[in-house]
Amino acid sequence: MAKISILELSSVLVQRYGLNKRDASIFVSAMFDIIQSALERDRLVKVKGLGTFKIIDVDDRESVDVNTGERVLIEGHGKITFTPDQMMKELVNKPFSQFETVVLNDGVEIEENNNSDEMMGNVVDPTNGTAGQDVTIRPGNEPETAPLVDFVTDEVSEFPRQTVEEFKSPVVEEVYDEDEDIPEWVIEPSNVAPTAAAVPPVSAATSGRPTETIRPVQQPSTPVEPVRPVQQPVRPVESVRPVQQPVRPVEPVRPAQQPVRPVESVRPVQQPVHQADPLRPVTRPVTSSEPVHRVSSPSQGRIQNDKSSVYNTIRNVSSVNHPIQPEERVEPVRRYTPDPVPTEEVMERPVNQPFDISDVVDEVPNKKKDKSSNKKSADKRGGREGSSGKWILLVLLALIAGFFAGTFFGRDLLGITSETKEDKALVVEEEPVEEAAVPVPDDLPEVQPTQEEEANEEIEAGEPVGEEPVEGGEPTNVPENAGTPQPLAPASPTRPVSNAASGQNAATMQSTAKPAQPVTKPNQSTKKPVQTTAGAAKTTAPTAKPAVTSPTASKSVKPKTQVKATAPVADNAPLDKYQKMDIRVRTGAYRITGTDYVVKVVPGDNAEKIARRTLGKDMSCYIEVYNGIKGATELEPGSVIKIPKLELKRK
Amino acid sequence: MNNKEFIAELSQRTGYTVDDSQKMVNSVIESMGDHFLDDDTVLVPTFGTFEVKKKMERVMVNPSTGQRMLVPPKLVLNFKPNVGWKERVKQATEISDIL
Repeated sequence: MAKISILELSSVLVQRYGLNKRDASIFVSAMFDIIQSALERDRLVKVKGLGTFKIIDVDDRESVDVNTGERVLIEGHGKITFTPDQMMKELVNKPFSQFETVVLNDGVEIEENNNSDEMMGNVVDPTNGTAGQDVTIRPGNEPETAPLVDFVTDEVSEFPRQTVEEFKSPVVEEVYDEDEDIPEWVIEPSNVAPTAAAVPPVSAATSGRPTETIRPVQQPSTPVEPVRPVQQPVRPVESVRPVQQPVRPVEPVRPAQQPVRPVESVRPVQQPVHQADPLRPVTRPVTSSEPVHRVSSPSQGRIQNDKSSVYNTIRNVSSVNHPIQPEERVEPVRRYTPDPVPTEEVMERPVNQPFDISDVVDEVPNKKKDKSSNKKSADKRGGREGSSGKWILLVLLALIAGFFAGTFFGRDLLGITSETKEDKALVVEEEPVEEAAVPVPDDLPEVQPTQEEEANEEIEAGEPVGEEPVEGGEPTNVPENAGTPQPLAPASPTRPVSNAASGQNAATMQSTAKPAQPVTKPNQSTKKPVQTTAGAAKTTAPTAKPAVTSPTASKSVKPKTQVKATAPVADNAPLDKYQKMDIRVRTGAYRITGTDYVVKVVPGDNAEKIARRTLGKDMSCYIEVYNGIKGATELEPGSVIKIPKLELKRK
Repeated sequence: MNNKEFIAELSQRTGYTVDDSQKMVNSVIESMGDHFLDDDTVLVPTFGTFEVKKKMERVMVNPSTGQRMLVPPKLVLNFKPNVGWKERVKQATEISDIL
């Protein structure tokens, strides 16, 4: 903001033309002198490169003295105006030259826009946070994990919490930077699932037996998506899991092995995932961030198993941890196949997704309460053992949730609002259930928490399951979710399971719970994430938001998980495909509802140019996905491009 | 007065050729532009002040179509004439109006 005088301007002449300072400054002052005198004479002076000076006449006008209220006549007078030359105008505006005027579509409120932006930011933030968490977690987790392996659940749970907390703050900062990354995560639903898979391995590692069961669960879960109806059959799913286990025995085994190292377990799992597929990598990252993983795993579990399957898995997990593992295992298996290392990064993204998902939210609420108590107790007791297990469970849940979320992201968009409401309802219901579950799991303080957590998880799973159905019919689903989750979660399965699982399960549960807690903490931030998710999948976001709001942080977390499940399940499958195709569409404010009209390609046209003419700048992603073209590639003149009809995801 | 006349008068008054004058004027304007990019204010005594101002983004409504446009924030070059000169122009115009 320095003030420049003629002296500085003339220095250029001195440098370039060898004028002496005096002549240079005389020249510059002469310039303005001539402009001034010529302006007074001609009333118009044009200077190329600078602009146009003009004297305009201002007519007489009446005004009001603001102090006295009297009418005052302002006499006409001359006024000097300056209009910068086009070149100068552009030069001055260079820093903001990337901005273009955007047409606001009908129904878009500025406030809403801001919200959406915030949502986006939030979503991003969560992702970032996750990423950050993952990073932090990784270091801590690995060391912890090793110890945890022995101590397992308690430590795990503790760690996750810590990481979660730490991450919370980071998340926001990172969000923007990682926006791109986040979208990727979102885009790859499969990734989420892998995450879940990765998680299961961990859990498996924690408890060898559980792992196997978990694997079965995963398998079921995969089917589950179609099965959604399965929710009721949730228990059956458990049985199914065993069957599946036999099928995928090898995979489970791998996870278990990996888990063992893991302590490690989480990382290993993740790594495998990475190797297996992109999705898997995602999972791994999630695993790395234990809290995230857990969250995501629940989501994934829900997604895979459907609500029912989720419940089953949850129950299994809670009881033996196995159930959880199954879900995770399935994914893990794939992941395991691949190498573990990359997973952490990937995992982070998945984790975010899970968080976004209602599952996380759901878990968080229940877990938060439970976790807080559980964590404390678990931590004190030696959360290391239990925590590691818990962590694994949480991670698995998170992976599952993430998987589901990813799978149903597109769908979510459609029913976000309704789902959100449902999620809230579900959350509330779930919470009670959890409470109930808590009492049941009397085993140990840790155990109880664990059970509660498990219950929560179960609930979450149940919720997701219910949500999924709900998604189909948002209103209907809501009731179902509420009902289903509660009953399921209540967990008759969970509690029993937890009892059976006892220490380990409890530990796992706790760990899960811990993750959930972390999630919860993030939840506030998560809300934003959720919202962002919503941006991707409107449904998801709304759900998450409502959940968060109504149920407190922890509760809100659970809702999120639910939301994930719901969003994925319920959302419109057809439209979802577009969301899956491009993260920009997934995270964008609109969803494609059909073809609005068609335009003919003119020479030199590409999707971006067409978008600028039709939908507006930066809207080309919708045209790209709708027509299966790339933004920058030049299109063949004369060909017809369909302009999608867009609907605001959030209303 | 257009640019050509402006340069011609400038070259006549300063003694440089028209070409040189144009080049030097361009250099000075270029220099001003550089300063504007740095958010600097250019003060020219007795003439006025060139200053870059930021305009916030705003929503514009097309009155005929009701279409709303979000106009992005932008930086614009603002010229504020020297107060003395401004008053002189004001007076002169009023006088001319009276006449």
